[in-house]
Amino acid sequence: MKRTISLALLYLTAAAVGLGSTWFALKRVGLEGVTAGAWRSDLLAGSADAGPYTRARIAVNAVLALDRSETIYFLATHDDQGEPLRAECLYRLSGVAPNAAWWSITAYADDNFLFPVESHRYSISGSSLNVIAGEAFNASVGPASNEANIETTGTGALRLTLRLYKPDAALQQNPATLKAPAIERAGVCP
Amino acid sequence: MTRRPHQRQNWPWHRHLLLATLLALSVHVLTVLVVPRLIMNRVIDTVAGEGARPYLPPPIDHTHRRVVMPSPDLLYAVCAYDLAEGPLHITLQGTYPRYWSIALYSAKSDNFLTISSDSIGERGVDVTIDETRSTRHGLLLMRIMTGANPQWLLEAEAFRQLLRCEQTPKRGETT
Repeated sequence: MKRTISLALLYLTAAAVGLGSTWFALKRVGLEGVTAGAWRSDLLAGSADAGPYTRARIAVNAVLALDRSETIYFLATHDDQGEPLRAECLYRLSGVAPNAAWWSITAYADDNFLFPVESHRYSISGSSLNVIAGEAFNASVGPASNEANIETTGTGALRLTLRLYKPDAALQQNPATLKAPAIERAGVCP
Repeated sequence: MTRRPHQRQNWPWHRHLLLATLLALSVHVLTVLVVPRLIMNRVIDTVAGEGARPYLPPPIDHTHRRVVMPSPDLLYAVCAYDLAEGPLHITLQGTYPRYWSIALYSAKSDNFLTISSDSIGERGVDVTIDETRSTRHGLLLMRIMTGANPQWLLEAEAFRQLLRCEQTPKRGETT
């Protein structure tokens, strides 16, 4: 009887390790691909050429992504100093508007959904900031009390997604050439 | 010569450890392979309505928790289809002065076709999808850029109403 219980525990643990390692591989291992500043992009998002891990990661973290000829997605989970982005901290975003027909930066909580902010300040875009490709921009992301352009609530991880719709040919060919928006922490983080 | 059950129960521990390791690896690989289909099936079930008729969700805000990473700067329209009910005929006659796209996804989550504002211009969309192009189940996702601008949102709403996703039964079939 004791042996049977031990064997049952062994196989249950094995199944749990299989599931746990999948969760780790899909949720905690960063995307493959190119980097630009603090931003990272998986070039096979939405593509039929994507391997099983990329396809599964995209399905879990960004299902219904578009092919990069249409849209390039960059994800940032750390600031320019390499510190993890936190919902309770204030960050300054700065740079030049990317060469794309349209672009936006949106903040997501750790569960990949929008922060519950009543102001509906979930994102910035070229149109909301009124800048065209090549023009400089400045914006902020952080708790509502800071009157940031993009508001967050609570504590925990913060993920920023930069979407470039119809990027120009040079960016499509080599997304690493993106003049990536800087992400710098402003002030002291509580 | 076959082993009796009580002999298998008395396998040495190293055999059980080996089998447990194989089980862990199998669970890992199978889950990675199955996850995209499971998630797509869930998404398709979420938006599936009567036939392939478009589902027009409300503008995105933080209460939207059906699909991860929704864009609050876009208005969406969705058609979930089952090609067993016949080829999918997609039409869109109209114009919108900002970015929009129609993307089609297979049941494996691959984006196998995208039509967008700059490739279509004012010609309008008239496309048929059959089983040579898609898996049996699939999803059409239309994105219309609104930039969270109230006036653009009104125009985008009128534009997405023009989308048609229709299925005609295959020849020889009756309804």
